[in-house]
Amino acid sequence: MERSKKRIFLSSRALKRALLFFVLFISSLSLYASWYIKPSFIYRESTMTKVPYVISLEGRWNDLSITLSLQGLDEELNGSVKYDYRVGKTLHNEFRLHSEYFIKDRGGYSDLSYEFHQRFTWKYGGLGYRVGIMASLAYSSFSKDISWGLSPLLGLEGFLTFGPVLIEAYLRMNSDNEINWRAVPVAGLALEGTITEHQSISLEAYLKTAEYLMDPWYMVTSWAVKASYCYRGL
Amino acid sequence: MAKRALSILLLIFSITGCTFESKITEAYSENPFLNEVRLDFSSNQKALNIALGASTLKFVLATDQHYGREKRYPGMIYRWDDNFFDYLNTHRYPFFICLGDLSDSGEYTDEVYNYIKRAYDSTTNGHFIYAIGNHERHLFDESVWTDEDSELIKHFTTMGKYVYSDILSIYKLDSSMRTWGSKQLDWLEEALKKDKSKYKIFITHDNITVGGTFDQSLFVTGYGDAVERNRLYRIMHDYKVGVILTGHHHKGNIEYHMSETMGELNLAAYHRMTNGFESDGFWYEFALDLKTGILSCDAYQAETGEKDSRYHFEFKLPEA
Repeated sequence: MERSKKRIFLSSRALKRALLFFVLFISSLSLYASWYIKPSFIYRESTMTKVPYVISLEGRWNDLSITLSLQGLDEELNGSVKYDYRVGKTLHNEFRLHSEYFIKDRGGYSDLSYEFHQRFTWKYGGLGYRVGIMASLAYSSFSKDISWGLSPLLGLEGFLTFGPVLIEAYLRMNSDNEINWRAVPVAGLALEGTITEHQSISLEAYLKTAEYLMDPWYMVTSWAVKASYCYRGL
Repeated sequence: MAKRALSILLLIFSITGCTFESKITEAYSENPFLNEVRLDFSSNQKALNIALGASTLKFVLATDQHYGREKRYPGMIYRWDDNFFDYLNTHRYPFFICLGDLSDSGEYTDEVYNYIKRAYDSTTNGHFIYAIGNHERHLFDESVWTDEDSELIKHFTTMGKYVYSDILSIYKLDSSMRTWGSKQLDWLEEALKKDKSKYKIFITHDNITVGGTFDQSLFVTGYGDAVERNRLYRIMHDYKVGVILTGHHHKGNIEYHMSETMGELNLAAYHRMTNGFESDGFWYEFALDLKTGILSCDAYQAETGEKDSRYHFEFKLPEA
């Protein structure tokens, strides 16, 4: 009995230490790095998933960002790590590792992508484009075969700023919030409002289509509205 | 604001020819997999013998005919219809499966009509089972492909179930819009729960498992939705569906064995196109051993009408 009490005591102390370490870590971020934390709520209607509610948490520290999301309790788990290496004022090299697991159907996919991204900014807005490639694999616990894919990635984006409000429209092929193990387009509109120096809120609506090669139509397989709050360090 | 943003997006997509999942199932007021079509009770002696207890059920398959493709690629398309129909008339199979893209433009041209007519005349009871392809959707008006009143195109539904003597159930899935959609797969599961056939297979146009060989499916073509793909695998496993037959990307002759009793066979196009990403023309003869559940497939070169010994495939179907 004493032993288990001691364990509880130790674990409680360890927890306090971990909490202290976390607070110091966050504080150090605000002193030495550019960072933000962005929790989001997504309402998503998809042709395949039954529960439309997704919660997502995105964190960024300098050039590295991590996104985790969960749709329903038995639908899907999603995680991605992105490294955005900037060169000068307009050029970005984005490397992304994205993984998705479907809880009910016991399988998922992972992809690794590189995108060359250039964004030109003017006083009231800007334009950007993306070109890249994605290597991906999809797996299932019911199959010993893995599906492999190589996809070209293309993207276009434009934005306008009106004081504290930013409006962005985009068309891209790899979205952190969507299920696309092959290159499928995601088109969206985002609205971001700055509240204070450290805080902002955003609202985003987007559509995803099915694989579309050579057909004269697009089949929408999901649409979503995403509401986010962002706390920014520097 | 969210609604307004979404409305703008929907407007942009509708202008650019965007469609929604409901288009796949809108033609059906109820589950189409529950209205099964019986393929047996043929007047043909060979087919009748099979129904009465022969040990092997044979059928024929050809896919991706793409009639009219010559207009887009003049001088590059070859097909040998007479070889194929001579073969069909000699063998008189109980049914003939086509996995879609019979028409390149989606138009119901004379060439397409003649092919269907010859297929109808060459099989017993006109059992020409047709799974719609993405090219049949190109004209946005696929009503001609779903006209059930016509005797000639009675199997031209977009999805359905075909049963041969309670031995084999064939489920025809619509992947012509590059997605099955959850409603179609819900219907499929509902029908499979009630299925009493000994063996079950799926047929659909789009290839599902990709990247097994260094072909174009690795790069672009093939099923783009990992959620649907995984759900289909789970359905095949849970309801003992042995194999899914697919076409679409033309190179074909690729077999995937997801497990000992579950697989996908991707079949090459019926026509030949002279570039490195396409195949010679092929058709296929399938034979299901009713005692062992082994489904074997032999490829025939369309140009010569001869069996191509390089391509022999076998799948062990699980018994219900």
